[in-house]
Amino acid sequence: MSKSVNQSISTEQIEDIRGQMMKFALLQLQNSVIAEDLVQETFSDALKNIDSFQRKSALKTWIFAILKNKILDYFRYKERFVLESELSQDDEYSPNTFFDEKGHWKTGYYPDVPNVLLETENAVYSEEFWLIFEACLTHLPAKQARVFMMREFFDLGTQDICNQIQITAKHFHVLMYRARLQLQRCLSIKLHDD
Amino acid sequence: MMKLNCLSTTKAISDARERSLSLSEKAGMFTHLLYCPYCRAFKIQCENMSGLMRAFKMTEKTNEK
Repeated sequence: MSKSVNQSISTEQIEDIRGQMMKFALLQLQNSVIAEDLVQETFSDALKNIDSFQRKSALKTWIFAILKNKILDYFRYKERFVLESELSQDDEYSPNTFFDEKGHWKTGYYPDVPNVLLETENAVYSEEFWLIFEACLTHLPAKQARVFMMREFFDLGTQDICNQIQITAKHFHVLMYRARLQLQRCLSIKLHDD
Repeated sequence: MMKLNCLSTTKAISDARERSLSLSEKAGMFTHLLYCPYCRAFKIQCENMSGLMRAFKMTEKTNEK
C-alpha cells in the first residue's frame, strides 16, 4: 500500500462512500444482508488492490466500479427470489401526471433539454451531476429505479431482467417508460435550479 | 397508419430503445415527431441519458486499470 494514497483518504471520506454504496446496493438488491455483504467484500477487494488505484478524485468511482461488478455477478450467478413487497407494488399502467386526457403534454410538464446535458462530456465528469442523478433515481419507485439501472447501467438484456424481476417484457417496457419520464422531469427541474 | 398523441409517441420512443417497433408504430411516431417539439425533446433526452450512462461506465473502466 503506497504511503501517499494512505494519507489522502480520510475516515469520513470512507464512511461517506460506504453510505452511498449501501444505498446503491440496497436499491439494486432489495436485501440489506446481501447488500451489506457485497459492500464489505468490495471494501476488502479495494484494499487488496489499492495499488492499482491512482487519483484521489476517482476513489468513489473506482470503488463503485468494484461494487457494480459484484452486484452484476450476483445478478448473473445467484438464484433470485421475489420478495412479497415487490409483488404488491402498484404496477398498472395508468394515465400519469404528465399527459392530459387527450394524451397531450400538460402545460408545465413540457420536456426540455437542460444545457448541461447538451454537452454530455461535461456532465459525465461533474460530480455534481451524478449527485443530482442519484437523488432523482432515489425518488423513483424502487422497481422502476432498479429496472432502469439494470438496463441502462448494468446493460442487461430484456430477457435477463424479466427473469430476475419476474415480470413480462410488456411490463418491463412500461417500467422503463415511466422511469424515463420521471427521471427526465426530475433532472430538468434540478438542473435548471442554478 | 396510426395517428399518435404525445402519450403514445413517448411510449413508442421509450419502447424503441428496448424492442423493434412495428412499421405502423414507426410511421406514427415519426409523423408525430415532425410537428411536436416536446416529444422531440423527450427523444433527445432519452438518448442523452443512455449516452451518459455509457460514458460514465467508460470512465469507470479507465479508473479500474
